Amino acid sequence: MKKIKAIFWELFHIFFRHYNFPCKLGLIRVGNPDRDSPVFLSGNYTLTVQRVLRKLQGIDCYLLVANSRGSNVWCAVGMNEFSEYDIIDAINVTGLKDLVNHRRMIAPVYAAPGVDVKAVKRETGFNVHWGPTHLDDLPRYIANGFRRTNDMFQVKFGFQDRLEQALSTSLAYSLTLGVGLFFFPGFFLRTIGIIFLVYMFGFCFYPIFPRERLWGRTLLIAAILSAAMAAFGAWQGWASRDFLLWQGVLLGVVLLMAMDACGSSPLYKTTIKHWLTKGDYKSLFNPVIDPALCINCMQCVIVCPKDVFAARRQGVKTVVAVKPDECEECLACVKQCPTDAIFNRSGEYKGDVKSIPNLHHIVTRDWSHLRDEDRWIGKPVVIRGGFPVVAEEVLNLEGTGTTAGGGVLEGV
Amino acid sequence: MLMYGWMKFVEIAPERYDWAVKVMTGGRLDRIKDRIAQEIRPGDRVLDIGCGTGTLAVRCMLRGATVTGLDTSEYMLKQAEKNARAAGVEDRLTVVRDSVTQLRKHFADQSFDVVMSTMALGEFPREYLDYILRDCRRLLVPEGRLLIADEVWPEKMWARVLYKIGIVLLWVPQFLLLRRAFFPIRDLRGAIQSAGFNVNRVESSAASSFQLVFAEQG
Repeated sequence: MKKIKAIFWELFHIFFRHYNFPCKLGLIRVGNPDRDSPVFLSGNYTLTVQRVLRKLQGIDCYLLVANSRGSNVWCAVGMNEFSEYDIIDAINVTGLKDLVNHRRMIAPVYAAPGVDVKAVKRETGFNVHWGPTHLDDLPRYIANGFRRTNDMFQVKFGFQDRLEQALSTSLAYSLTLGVGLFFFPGFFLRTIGIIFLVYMFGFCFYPIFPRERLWGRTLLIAAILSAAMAAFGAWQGWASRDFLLWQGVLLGVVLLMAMDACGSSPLYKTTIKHWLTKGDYKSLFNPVIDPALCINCMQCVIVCPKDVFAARRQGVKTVVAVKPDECEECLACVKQCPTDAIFNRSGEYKGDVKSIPNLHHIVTRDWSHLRDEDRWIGKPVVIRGGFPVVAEEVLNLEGTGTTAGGGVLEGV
Repeated sequence: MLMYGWMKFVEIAPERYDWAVKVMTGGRLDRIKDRIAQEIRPGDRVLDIGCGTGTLAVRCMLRGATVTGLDTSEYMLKQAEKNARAAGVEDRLTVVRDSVTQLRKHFADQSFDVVMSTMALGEFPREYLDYILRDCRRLLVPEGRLLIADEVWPEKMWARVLYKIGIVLLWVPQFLLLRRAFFPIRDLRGAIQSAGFNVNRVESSAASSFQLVFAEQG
């Protein structure tokens, strides 16, 4: 019975993922935690908390549920609805400082665009450590001694995520159209059916379609679905009026999905205008790092979900942007950079994140002194010590090491 | 997308926030703010928790009080200062950007005559309220007053059922307009009493789903 109830609520929350469902704030004890047990942080979005608790089963720890207004932290930080203040509140109210000896808190890295970790440290003494990007990786992260490996950094959009996204988005649109059911039940029921069909098709087969370039992906999806519908219509002997009507509805829904993709997947974030004019989902923001300002703290590398950055490990030790075109403009790097070293090549930004007070200045600054940094774009990267490092510098490094008998690395 | 447009619309410009709230509450909030301001006497030192765009703070300052507004949003505080300037009372407004559990970091014990808060505490559960109200008690002078106005769960059973139905129906338009769910407080009166205040009067409106609580240091 308990299990059936749990499954029901899981399904309910999957279908209604687009709406806020706050759960209780405060400290949850998982197992039998003591004064040295680890502390994990979560927003108060019910579905996330349910899933995190399931992942943490069998581990003695604390889960601190802070106020993200019933949204997931990624959306909440973007809207400035989850910030360092909510973490400070949760620590103050639960008296966490008196419960544990250590001052270490493992936080979801999706909160990085909106949380000032220095403020949390200053006000409460707690050090925020960014955990894995996906909560499925939590057990692996713990088994690995609370260290992230590079594959835990990147954002993934797995089959289950895509399925849930398709179902919940279709449902949100269907509910919006629900009013029409009273007036034209036949038309709206079929339209809702088409919405579910298009979204399920588009999201479930996501990886097999090519990446959107010059609207190619959208046109391909439209062509396949339109042909399928034409075949179905011919078989059913539709009148030409119906045929045109439903083809029109179908293309409308495909267009809706294509515009939704500007922000509905965790992989891309751009504006509808950009998609309409350029035909791809590249973000407006295009990061480039000023080596004179970079202090090599690696924060941007750690919080970037798209592996945009890599470290240089020969001579100059700074971080460079190797895949700026992959950027999805979460602005976590800008938020976390202690020296404001990240400039913006395009001078444009979507401006979702509202927790960076001087954001407009930072992203519209003149970057012409950094044109030389373009040379890092597209450079191959290898993983060293869990971090992406520019490959040619590693090869040089290792090559020099071998020929010189090892150890003579500086000044070459 | 409609949703997204509204979100942007309200979020980008806090000056629209007041307007959106006005639409949502049918002007009710304005009346309640006028009502609260009537309680303010000239010379009162007032703390406004979650002051937002400062519409209540300005009303109090116009009655001769000095107000300290606390909010976490820099955008809101800037708008509050702008509103105070427009009313010509900016010299009586101090804004503090911090969170509501940090009160004692900024203010000494007994440094206010009045602590007030409208539509700000609703999102906190009981443990948070207890913590915040305990702090308020220390900040207030011995005769200090507490004025809290917020959405509450109605105290009567039949009203609670009606309210639940209303919430479900209003959920979508509210979400579209404000992009945040309102979180009614359960037992606001009880929380204030158990923090050690004497509740003098409770004024309810909107089928008892909105309460204005007048309390005093006990």
